[in-house]
Amino acid sequence: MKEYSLRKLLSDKRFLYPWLVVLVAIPYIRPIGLPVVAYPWTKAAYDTVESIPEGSNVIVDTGFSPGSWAEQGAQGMALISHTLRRNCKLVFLVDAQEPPGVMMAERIMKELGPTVVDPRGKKYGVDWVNLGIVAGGVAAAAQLAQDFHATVKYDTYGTSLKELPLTKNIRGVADFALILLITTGRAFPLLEQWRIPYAKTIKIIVATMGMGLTTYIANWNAGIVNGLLSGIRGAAEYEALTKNYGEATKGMDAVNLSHIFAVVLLFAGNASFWIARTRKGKPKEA
Amino acid sequence: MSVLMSVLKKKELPFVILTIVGLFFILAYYFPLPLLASVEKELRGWVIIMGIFLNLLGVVSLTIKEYGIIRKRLAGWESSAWFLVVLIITVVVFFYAGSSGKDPFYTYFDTLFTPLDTGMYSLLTFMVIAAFFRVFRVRSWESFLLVASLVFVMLMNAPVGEAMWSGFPAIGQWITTVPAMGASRASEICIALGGIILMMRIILGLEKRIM
Amino acid sequence: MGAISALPELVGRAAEMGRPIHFTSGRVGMTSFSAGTSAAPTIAALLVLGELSKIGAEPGVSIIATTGEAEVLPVAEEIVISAVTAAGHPEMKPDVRFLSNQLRSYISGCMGIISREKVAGNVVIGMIGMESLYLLDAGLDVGAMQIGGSASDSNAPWFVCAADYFLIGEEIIATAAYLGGDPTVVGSVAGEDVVKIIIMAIMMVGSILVTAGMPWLTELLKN
Repeated sequence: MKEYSLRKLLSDKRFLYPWLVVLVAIPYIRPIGLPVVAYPWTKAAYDTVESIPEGSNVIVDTGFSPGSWAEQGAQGMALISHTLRRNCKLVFLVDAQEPPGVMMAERIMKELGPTVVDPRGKKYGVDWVNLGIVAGGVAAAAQLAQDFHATVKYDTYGTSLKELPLTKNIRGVADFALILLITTGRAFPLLEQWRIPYAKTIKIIVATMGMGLTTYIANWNAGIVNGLLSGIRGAAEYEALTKNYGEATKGMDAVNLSHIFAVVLLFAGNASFWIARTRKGKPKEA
Repeated sequence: MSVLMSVLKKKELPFVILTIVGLFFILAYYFPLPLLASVEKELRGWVIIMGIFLNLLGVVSLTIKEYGIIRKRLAGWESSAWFLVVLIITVVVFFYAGSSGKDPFYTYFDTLFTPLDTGMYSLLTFMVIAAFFRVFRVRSWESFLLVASLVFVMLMNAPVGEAMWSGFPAIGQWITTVPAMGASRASEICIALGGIILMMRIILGLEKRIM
Repeated sequence: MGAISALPELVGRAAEMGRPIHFTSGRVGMTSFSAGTSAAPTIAALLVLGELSKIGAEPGVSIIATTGEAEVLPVAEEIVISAVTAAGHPEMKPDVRFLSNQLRSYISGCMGIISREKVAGNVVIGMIGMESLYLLDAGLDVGAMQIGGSASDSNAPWFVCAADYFLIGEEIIATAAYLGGDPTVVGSVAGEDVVKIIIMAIMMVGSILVTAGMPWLTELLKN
């Protein structure tokens, strides 16, 4: 009867959850520090940022909520500190479906620590602008590509875009070199309305959560997406490439232990299922 | 006036508008003539304005519905009351701050929403761990392949997988870039085609159930 | 379409157990503002809701429809009202609930409804993202019969593992045509299959040509 009580124990969430807490906490006390090797799609993202001219305009969609900060915030910080290091000018926006993204853009710029070039020295209106929510979905994205000022007139603070040095001369997609799409899926349609129609003039990097890799890997392989960051691993790989180690690298130790735990549970669950199934046919012992 | 109202109330009117505008956008895409382009730009502006009003419509209809629940004291009316209170406070704080990036709205968001969202996300993450024991059962060949791929891809994502055996990231990468990519491509093409057909049916008025 | 053919079985089970059915179409809307190019699966899901309401009207099964997009709320209500009226039960009131368009709140709301109401059936269909795993897990907890599918290919595995009947990708959109039974509409699905065969042929010919060092077809299609 031992297997059945062990099976009950393992299927009891009250038993599993404390183990996960302990495993995730261990690396913060005793870091493991295994090296993170970049996969080709992350390397392609790094090469894409390195390939755009210094001082280019970059449009950034930070359509994620605070709960995804550990993954997407880390991706955003890694990507944005690299673009700022190359003196790129950033224009942030979010789709109406992810309103917290407006605050995520603010948080990224506030939390970026010193890197090779201290992003805290960047000036709002000159080096970066936050447009806030741009409502209208596909129509707005298509319009924004052709006539920037007709689609969005004010930034999120209510300042006219014609008064800000960064945005006053922007006409549309031709004035941007790169799109950074840092979203969990409800993105402003920059991929469909900016990258695909104007593929010769603008590049795109997509930073998505771990399970978004299969969605975008085909696009990356076809050359539609120039680079891809997947989950906290992608952020850690990017930090290793830029030698700008941050939260993602610290978090990889927790990823190691939790993934091992998950695989062990997977085998245990299937083993107990098949043992129980096999035993069903056997007569009871006296 | 009665003639106008009888025309506006006809069920066919939305279909007529949908068909004309839908076909116009398709024509404007394939024939980029200056006249068509300028009308398209104007229509797109209307679409953006409608999008903004749609968000407002969603909030208003939701508020009316929640108020109805509170008035009739239906099950869960306390949650509806709380929803309205938080909605009003958020709107007031936003208009007081003037912008979502400015205090006190940013502090309000950072102090309340951020920890709640992060906390809920963490709770749900624990559920995934329980799912590894309960949900992912090998009952057939398909689910066996699924579980096997899951193990390799998970260990591809964790550096400890490479430390244990170099085959884990290699096989995981092969699974991601060959079968998964092929299936993803097929799925995307099929969904895009299905979407085009469904939208064409709606534009041509063949799909009446959605109206 | 095993999944859709199982809808009467699902309704029968719910009627026998005296418990409701939970239906959700996810957090994606049905207009270009909210859904972009992902509106089609949501529209197809709402057509499934209509069919489910029609089948469930006769035995008086309660269907709790949840959504994570406010613009879907009035549309879903109208679809349910039309369906139950067509089935001869106009007195039945729609139970459509908007939860939240924030992922975590939406998941918590759905799981709460599934657990509290101890639903007999759980229909999760549309452009469903990572919330599918949690909803299906909650359905497993209460012993519900689960039918569903996601147009998002990265979330299809959850349905394969946890749902009794599942639809993968484009089958969700084909369902919309299948349910109506209108020959013109069903014909459009057949036409779609013809286009798929043409695309497959172009892909095979293109692959062979590129392998042979003649990429002219690829270049032509790229431009």
